[in-house]
Amino acid sequence: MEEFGRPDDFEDYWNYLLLRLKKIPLKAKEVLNPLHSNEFCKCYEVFFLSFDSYKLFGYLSIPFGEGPFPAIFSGSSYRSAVEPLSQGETKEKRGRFVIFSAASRGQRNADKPFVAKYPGLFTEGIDSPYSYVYRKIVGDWLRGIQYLVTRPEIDRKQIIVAKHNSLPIIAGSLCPDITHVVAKPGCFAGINDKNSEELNDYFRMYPDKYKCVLNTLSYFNLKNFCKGLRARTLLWGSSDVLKNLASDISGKTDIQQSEQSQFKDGLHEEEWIAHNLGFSDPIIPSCWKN
Amino acid sequence: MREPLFPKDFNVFWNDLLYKSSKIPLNETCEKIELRSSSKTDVSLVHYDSIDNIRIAGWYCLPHTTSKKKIPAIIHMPGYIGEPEIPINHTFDGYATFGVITRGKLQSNNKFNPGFPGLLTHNINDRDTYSLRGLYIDAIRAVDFLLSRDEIDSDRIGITGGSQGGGLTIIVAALRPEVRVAVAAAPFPCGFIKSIELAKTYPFEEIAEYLRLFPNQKQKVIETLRYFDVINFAKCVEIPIMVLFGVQDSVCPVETVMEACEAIPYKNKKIYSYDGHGHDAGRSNHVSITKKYFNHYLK
Repeated sequence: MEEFGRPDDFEDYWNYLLLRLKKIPLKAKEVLNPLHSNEFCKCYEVFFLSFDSYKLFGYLSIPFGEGPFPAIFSGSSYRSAVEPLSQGETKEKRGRFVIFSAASRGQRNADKPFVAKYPGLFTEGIDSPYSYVYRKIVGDWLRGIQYLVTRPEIDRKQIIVAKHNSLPIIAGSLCPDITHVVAKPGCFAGINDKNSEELNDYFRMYPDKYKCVLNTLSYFNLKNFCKGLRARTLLWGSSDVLKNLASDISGKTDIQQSEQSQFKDGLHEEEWIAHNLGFSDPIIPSCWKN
Repeated sequence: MREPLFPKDFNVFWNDLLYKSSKIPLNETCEKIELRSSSKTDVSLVHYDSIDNIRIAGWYCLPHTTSKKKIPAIIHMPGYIGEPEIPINHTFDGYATFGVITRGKLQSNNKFNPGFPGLLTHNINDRDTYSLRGLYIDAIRAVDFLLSRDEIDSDRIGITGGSQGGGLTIIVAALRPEVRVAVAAAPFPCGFIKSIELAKTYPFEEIAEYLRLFPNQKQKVIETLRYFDVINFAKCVEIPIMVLFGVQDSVCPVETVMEACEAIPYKNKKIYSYDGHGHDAGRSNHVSITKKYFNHYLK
């Protein structure tokens, strides 16, 4: 695939989104969820409005005890489900961090009127930057972060956006509140990931749309977000592939190659987070401790 | 106490369900999806009926071939929380593949949609309405879909999956003699109660949360789960099977997965334990081993 560059109206495209978000009230409503609360935290279901006044949903975990607490924003993965805590992470983590796991439009509990398809979401509306669903999804991430920073329990000097896709980089660049980013650049950096096959399907089916799709993707080219990203950053991937991207990021950036082990990668990430937030030890599953 | 206790009527319960579900017409449909098909592979979206009047979806992939010979097939079982991907990889080796989308997942959730988290505790205090009862039958009936296809060699059907897909692989291997070979990674759910105590992570945490909120249901829950524990199905696996797992698996505690492996009576079972790996089960190191294993039994 050809390199996609920087469109002339890149700033306007994203400023429009930010402006629209400013004009829409959050109208956040929290409902205590006793089922997903535990000995470490209270859990709330949160309903709030995003771009186009779309109603979103998230699980908010607030630790017991005195804050302020560091906060983790866990935005959408490429699937329909949203959990209070990602699969495989120990529940004790919910006692150290305020964790907001927020759905983007199309995911469960945020699927009216739009129901996302997997595969399919990645190319939804991709013929034009103005119809592409990922602009709205970025808006949903920003909206979730905006909600999180309204919480009095959080330490505003320690707000992490962590997800193994490209979106933490975009969100971290567009939202100055973010202090730490963990991301795994993929299709938006021209790197093959699970979305690449969907894109290939689309090009095969609609070869005449190749140029307009590349034009849309140019608005999401991660290279164009690097300068604005001032957060301390961890990128997952090959240093050969990511070194240029990392050097463009304004904040100090580490690159970590996956060892294809949920244990080794997970341990590294938890240690990175703990170290960069000033904790002496990471919170990890007991089977990772020996 | 080693868990789970094998219910005396375990076989009766499942034989009865298998019999009931065998009386339900499959009513299968298979629609080619041009967008996902290529010059090498046809991809179709399949639907078929399962118990409780629920329609189940799946991805069916057929490699292009000029031969009129019947071809072998590999069933791909889905994990618990994600959306099943289109399983095209094995088609490049000449296999048809069928990726099952069990109830509750997108495209199989019109009538049954407890959500994630939610599905694992849906009616968990009653074995006759528990969510996994229907979900396991959805998986089992994937074999019937393949048997309904003229192009498939019914003597050469394999099955694979990871996490819940690994558990479903063992379950179907135990209950469907038409399946010739199985490869299961990090099977879930093994040893429910022990896993809840050890893991402290989702998805087992869903059950822990339920029991915390409804402690008086504990006995009923334990009684129900005995019928759905992969360890109990493992005791019935008599076909060639390979199981791989990570020693540092934070989702499926290794102690419980090993118990399932030990329970498999098939003499030449292949068990791979990957130290330094978690819920990935070392699959990145295992691709060629899996391929050879399937080729040995299915080609």
